[in-house]
This record gives sequence, structure tokens and C-alpha cells, in this order.
Amino acid sequence: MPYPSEWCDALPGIAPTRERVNQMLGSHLNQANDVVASLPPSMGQATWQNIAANAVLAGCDPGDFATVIAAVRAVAQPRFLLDQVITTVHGLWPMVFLAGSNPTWSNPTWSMEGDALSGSYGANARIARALSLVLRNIAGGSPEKFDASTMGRPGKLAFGVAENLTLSPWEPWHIRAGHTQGEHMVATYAADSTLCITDMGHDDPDILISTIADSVAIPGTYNAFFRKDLWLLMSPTHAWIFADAGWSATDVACALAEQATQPYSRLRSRGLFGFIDRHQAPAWLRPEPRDSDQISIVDDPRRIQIAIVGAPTGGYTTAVFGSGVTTIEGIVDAN
Amino acid sequence: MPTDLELVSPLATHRAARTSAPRARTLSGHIVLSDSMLNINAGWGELIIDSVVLALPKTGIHIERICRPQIGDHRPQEWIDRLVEQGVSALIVSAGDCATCTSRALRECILAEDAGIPATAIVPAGLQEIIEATLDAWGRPDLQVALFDTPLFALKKEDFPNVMTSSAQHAISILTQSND
Repeated sequence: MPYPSEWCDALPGIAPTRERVNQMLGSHLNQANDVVASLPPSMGQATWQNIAANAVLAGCDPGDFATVIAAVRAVAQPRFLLDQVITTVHGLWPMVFLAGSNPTWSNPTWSMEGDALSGSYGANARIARALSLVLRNIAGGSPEKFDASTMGRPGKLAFGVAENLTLSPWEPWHIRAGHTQGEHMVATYAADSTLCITDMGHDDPDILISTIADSVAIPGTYNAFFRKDLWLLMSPTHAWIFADAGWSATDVACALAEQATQPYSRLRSRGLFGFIDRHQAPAWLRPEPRDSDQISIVDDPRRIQIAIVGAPTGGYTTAVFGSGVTTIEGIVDAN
Repeated sequence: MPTDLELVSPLATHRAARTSAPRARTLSGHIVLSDSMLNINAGWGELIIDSVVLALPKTGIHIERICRPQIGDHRPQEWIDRLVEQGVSALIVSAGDCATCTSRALRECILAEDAGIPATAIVPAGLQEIIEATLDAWGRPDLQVALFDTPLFALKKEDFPNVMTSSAQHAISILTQSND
């Protein structure tokens, strides 16, 4: 059944018929017109019903809907700065991270093993796409409206990630972030392009941390300027090299914050440093550092978010750069 | 219509109701000129506002120049509330080659108008899509703004008076038009 082309991205969608939308709403049918959130920059009102219509368009299963709702609530938190994420000429767009116990309510469930970041199977891509369509249709996040991105970034249509808890040597990310076992949560992060960091052929955690540190401490990222959250999606092989040597995830984050540094002389006229004036600068630039000061990629080790993703074989860590903070929402009525 | 043939819109339909501020025949009182553009290190932001100052009447007004950060936590309503408390009589906001700054500058103007302060923005024509989207979504597609055609990165400092003078004069004329 045809639908107006401006409702969807460039990929085919599923027509949001009344029957499909009602099925998506399920037990929330009687609150279809209730407002879940007002989404900047257009301040469009996201209701249960128009979110459900976007979820249908994205190809979601009704089992995905509670996760989509949580993702919408997460990006609507004021500290996510959604209007800045959408209106910027940069390529920022939300990464959707499924945090908590392995999900059982989506069918099929989330991909977290081999090829997990690609969206080639599982629920990741369709849930992240549903959020992207909500931002397009309700928040005004299309190139014809508020999205002024100069060139965008790969994965902007759908970037969903779930943690491989089975192969992780550490507690799940959401426990390390202060939440409790058994909670199901969605985290969102204003993500830039990713960088795949390869390091193989040894089991030395000191070498591995130096590889990762040198790879992320580069002047042209927004992280180098804002020094906010940096996500590291670490393969089980890399995680176990650290864990076998007695390192916790916190140890990895602290070591990285200490080693992923650049002298201020290398930063001050590069990247965003030459573009943003003194009035717009973050607090850490006031007063201006000395040229010899070593500037870490983060202003606090707790900014480094580490999650274990992917198959057992292969020594890779994917750095997800970005400019902001991570926001979290619980998934309600998941089952 | 059978329910299986009815489409449910994924769009938001709500639009905020906004009002326009009354205009006087001439500008008077406390005029705020806000430079919200990036790269003030190059002097460009100040140069836009310099052009406005030159085009304003020489008597009967008090000019306040400020630079308002547009990156990070925005909170425009709080700022507009303060302008109302200060008895500001008109507001001109400038923005450079930054889409976020441009959209936020326009939202400040719309909220100022809603609060009864005549307001307009000097913004780049190259960001026409986001300008129209902001004015439409925020309920003021009729709000007039002064555009400049040349991307700032292509300008040298000495080019600014030629490029900005007409934009500055246009901005002032917008604030003094009648609402008829």
C-alpha cells in the first residue's frame, strides 16, 4: 500500500495502516494520543500513536515497541541536547544502545555477536531506524527541514548496539553505570562516525591500551574539544586480554583517560579549536591551558563507556566518537 | 473506510500558537544586539553587529551589545524573560555559518516577539531550509528576517561593510514596520 514518500527515508518502509499501528500499540491503544515527549527543534509532540506509526514504517515487530518508546524518551532528555544534534552541520545522530539483560521480547532478538554493528540481522537496525524516523517526522530531523548536516555519516539511518553479556568478562555496562541487575534499559548517545581499532597477535594489556589510546587521541574529533563521552565497543578478545591480566573495565577507562592525551599546542589551532570562539568554549578552556599541558580525550575517566560487542574471534575495538553525554531510560512493559 | 486501508500519519500535527510584537514607527529605548555567531576570534561576529550599530538612529536609543553562546544548553525562554524584565524595546540577533546558531537565534526572536519585543535576525541565506523549518515549526512563518547571501568563509574582513550594510538596514526596517 503506498504512503507519502516524505514519511520515510530512502529505504522502503511498511505502510502504517490503522490495523498495523493498533497492533504496535497493543495495550497502549487507549492512550494513543497521550504525549510521550515534545521533541526539539520543531517541538513536535511525540504521541504513542505517531511513534507507533514510525515503528511500523521502520519494520518493527510489536515486541520492539517498548524499546522504541524508551529510546524516544532518552533522546528527549534535555541533557541530550537533541535540537543541537539535529540542527548541527556535523554528522551527529543517536546511537541506540540496548543495556541490561539479553532481550527476549523482540522477535528476532538483538544482534550482539558476529557482525553485530552492521544491522544485518536482529532487531538492532529496525529499532534504531524507528528512532531515526521519529526524529525525522516528529522532531523535524530531515535535510529538507532542521537537519543541516554537511555530509552526515554512515549508519545515520540506523545504528543500534547490544552488549554481548555472554562473552563479557565484566559486569554489564548498565551495572557499571549504577543501575541494578534485571533492569532493561536503553542508552542513547549523540554519535559521530566510528573508528575500528585493530590490535592482534599479542596478549599484552599495556600494548593494547596504548594502541587504543593513540588511536582516539586525535585533534579532529568533537571529543578532543568537548571532552565528553567516548564509547568503546570492545570485542571479547580485547576485553579478555585486559581481564586476564586483572584489569577491570574501570581500570581500562582510567588508563585510557591517562594515556589518550595530546599537548595543548597540538590542539589549539586545529579541529573545533580554531572555529569556536571564546564565548562558546567549554569551561575547561577558561583559562586557556599552556601549550605544554597534556589534554586528555575526556575530562573524567567515567566519560569512557565500555561495552563488549561481537564474536569471540578477532582483536578489535570500535571507538564511537561524539560530542555529548549518554542518556538512559528504562524499558517499561518489555514483555 | 475499512481500517486496513486507513493510514496513520507518523507526523506531529501540533503547532504552537504564536503572536507578533507590535511595531513602532521608529526605534527607541533599549535595543539589544546579540552576536550569536561562531568564530568571533576572526572578528566577524562583531563586524555584523558593527554594521547594525552604524545603521541605527544616533539619538533616542540605548544600544546594548552582547555575545550569547549558542552551543550547549540553550534555555532561550529564561533569557527572553530577563529582556522583558529589563524593558528591552527591540532585539536583533546575528548568526553566522552555523546551522544550530541560526535556528536557535530564530527561536529567540520568536520567543521575544511572543513576549512583546519586536525582534529579527541577520542570518545566512545558505541556511534557507533550516530558517524556513524553524519559522514554520515554531509558528511564525511570517516572521521577517534579514538575509546575507555570501558564505562567511568566503569573506575578508574588509568585505563586511559592503555585504552587511544592506542586511543591517533591512533588519532595522523589519523592526519598524507596522503590523498591518
